[in-house]
Amino acid sequence: MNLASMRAAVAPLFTSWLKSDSNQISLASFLLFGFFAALVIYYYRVATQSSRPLPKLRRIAGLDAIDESIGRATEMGRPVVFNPGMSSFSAPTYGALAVLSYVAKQTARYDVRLIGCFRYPEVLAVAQSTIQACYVEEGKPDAFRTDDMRYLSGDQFGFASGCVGIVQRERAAAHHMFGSLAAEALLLAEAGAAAGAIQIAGQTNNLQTPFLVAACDYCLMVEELYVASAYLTQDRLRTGMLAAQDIIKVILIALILSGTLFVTFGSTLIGDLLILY
Amino acid sequence: MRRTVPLTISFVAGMIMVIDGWLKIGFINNFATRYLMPSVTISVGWAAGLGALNLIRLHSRNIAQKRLNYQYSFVLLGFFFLMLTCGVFLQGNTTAPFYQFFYSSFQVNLSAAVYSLNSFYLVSACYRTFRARSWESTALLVVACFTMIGSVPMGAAMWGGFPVIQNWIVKVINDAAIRGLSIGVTLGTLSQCVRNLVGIERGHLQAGE
Amino acid sequence: MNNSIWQKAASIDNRILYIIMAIVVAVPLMNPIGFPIVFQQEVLDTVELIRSFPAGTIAYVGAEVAATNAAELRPMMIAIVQLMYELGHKIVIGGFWADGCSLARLWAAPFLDEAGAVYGEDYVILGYRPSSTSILDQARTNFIDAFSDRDIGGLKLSEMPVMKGLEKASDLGYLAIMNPGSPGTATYTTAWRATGEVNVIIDCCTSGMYISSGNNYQAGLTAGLIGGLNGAAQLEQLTNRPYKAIRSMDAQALGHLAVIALLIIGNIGYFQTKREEEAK
Repeated sequence: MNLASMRAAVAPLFTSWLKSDSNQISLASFLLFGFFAALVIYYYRVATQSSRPLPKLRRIAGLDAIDESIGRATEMGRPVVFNPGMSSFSAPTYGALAVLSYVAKQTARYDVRLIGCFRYPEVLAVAQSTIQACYVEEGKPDAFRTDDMRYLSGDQFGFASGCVGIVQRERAAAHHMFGSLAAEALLLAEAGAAAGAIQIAGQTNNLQTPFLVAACDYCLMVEELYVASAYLTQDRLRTGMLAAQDIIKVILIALILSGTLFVTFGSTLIGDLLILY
Repeated sequence: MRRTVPLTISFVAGMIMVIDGWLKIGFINNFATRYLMPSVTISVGWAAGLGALNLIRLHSRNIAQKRLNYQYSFVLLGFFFLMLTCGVFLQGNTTAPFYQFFYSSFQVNLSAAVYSLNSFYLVSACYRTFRARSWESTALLVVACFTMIGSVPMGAAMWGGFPVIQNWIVKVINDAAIRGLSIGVTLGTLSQCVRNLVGIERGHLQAGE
Repeated sequence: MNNSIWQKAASIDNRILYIIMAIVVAVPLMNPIGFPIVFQQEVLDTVELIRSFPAGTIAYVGAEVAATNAAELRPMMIAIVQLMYELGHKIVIGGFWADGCSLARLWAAPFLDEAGAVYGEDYVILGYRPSSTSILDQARTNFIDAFSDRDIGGLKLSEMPVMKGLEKASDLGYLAIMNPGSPGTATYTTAWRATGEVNVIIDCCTSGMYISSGNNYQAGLTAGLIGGLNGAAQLEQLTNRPYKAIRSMDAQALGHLAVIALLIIGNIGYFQTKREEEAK
């Protein structure tokens, strides 16, 4: 049975309701997403309606170091500078805001000054209200300083140079860079190193990871940023979502390995099944 | 209410886009293409104004209270209003000599100057970090040296093997690692998006747990 | 030789490092040495691919550039548009980086005008638009409406001869995207390649993006790849239009060697210092 005949057999079942794309992976991606949604629902029920144990999260040094860095800032009496990245509302920014929420609670608790550097005003607005709510929750509403939440510039390197200036002038004790970083990553990291700050970076751009690994004290490896909210809060629901994500990862690994084996022995069955429609 | 409304809006809008991505449902496809997508463009425009107001407020306060380095706030606000005036009175005609002078003389050159700091910081970061303290860091050092020499014509002139080794490092080892990381990032992004979509992730909504 | 020399070698002040790099990079820029350019197969294949399109093909250039990536992308953009014009392709320049189209006008337009190209007939610059995703999505069905029927100077696109025949994205022959990050080639690949509108995307990336762009090229998502200053220099050589990239390659080569020399000095100083401390 070759690819063309399989496609001819399968196409009439889906043409009327499923969109196709030029790579012909519409059906495979739809089924994978459907399976992921089913896993999400399953783990939602496990997390909220039962007390069954969920998989444990392994230790992530960079996230454990957040408390250490805030402790250092408390002892030295110097501020914590938080940078939620270069992009507007995207998945890395939401991950960064989850970490910011935790950092804000800790800085409120230990009376440490928190300075936020923002590139997008909409992110600033959301972060500001989030941090303010954290300070209120910790019983320190007067400690929140609006002027410490700074919109620097919409330009990439205008923002970077502003952030560099803040880290160095304020002599930050801790410099947190989470979110989506681009070419300015090294600039920010070196500025923090020159200021003597302990630096923790968690960003999703593969290409900047080498620079941050070299220049920062702790660096989260790419997708560990998305684990942050579950790790820091130890919330069952979020941990369940991570379990669903890891199951999909195992499925993809199995597909890659089986596809490689099949192709090595001369069969394109796995590849053909993936590009059926 | 303060959390319910935003969560409902994100869920509905998100589900429309997810459905539009896969399924052929006429009114949803039409709504997504004709109304939802252009609305993103409109909201971005409004957000720009918000940033400008924040900038003006912060630096005006610096000047009024004569905080440290308040002179730079004068410079910033001065250029801000200058370029704003150019944009308003020139009505989007960016070919005007006045606008072009400030753009190409200041903006372009300053941006390039700040970016070029990267090259110097790269040297200091490499010098500080690439020490053969362990087997892993020695491997990192050796690979970095081969990659740097192999990527310039001078390396090929010194020995023909340098570009071959560099090519192998980049195309085989590096590509494999990047693909693995990319798959992980994509799944993490998918999971984060689903968490936002169904309202599990609320860190951006005033930290209410 | 005494201890302090090895300690100094292991901990050279950053300012001295910066001065060394400044000299090593500046001198060859002012007095080019002329190292030979080595051609990569992907650049050769990309140039042949562009040459395979007939005269009259509408080519889209994604001016996703800023002043920060001028060193690599400026010579690349200039060489690409000159090649396109020489082959008789119609050039549509658009971009979703704020400075992109303005810089395309500063960088590329003078070279095109000098070669005899007429704005509006041979090339057009669309102007900046926010939100790449929605614009590119709309362009799949109506290209001119997606860009509000206006170019960078406010002129009507529908009245320009260069836009004749371009009603939707699938009317484009190929794309050449300057790719320093996001939005970049991935944006166009998602919007137009994955949906089948355009099958040929040429990725003109910076050296920082070369790793991920190489991945996409190997996987067949992009049809051509020209990476970094090295790629720009090869492109200039192949199109017989030497400009800044070829001149800058000498500086890049010496810069790399200087970094390697500093790494070696630093490591020698580190090991000697360690040995002498252990001997004490």
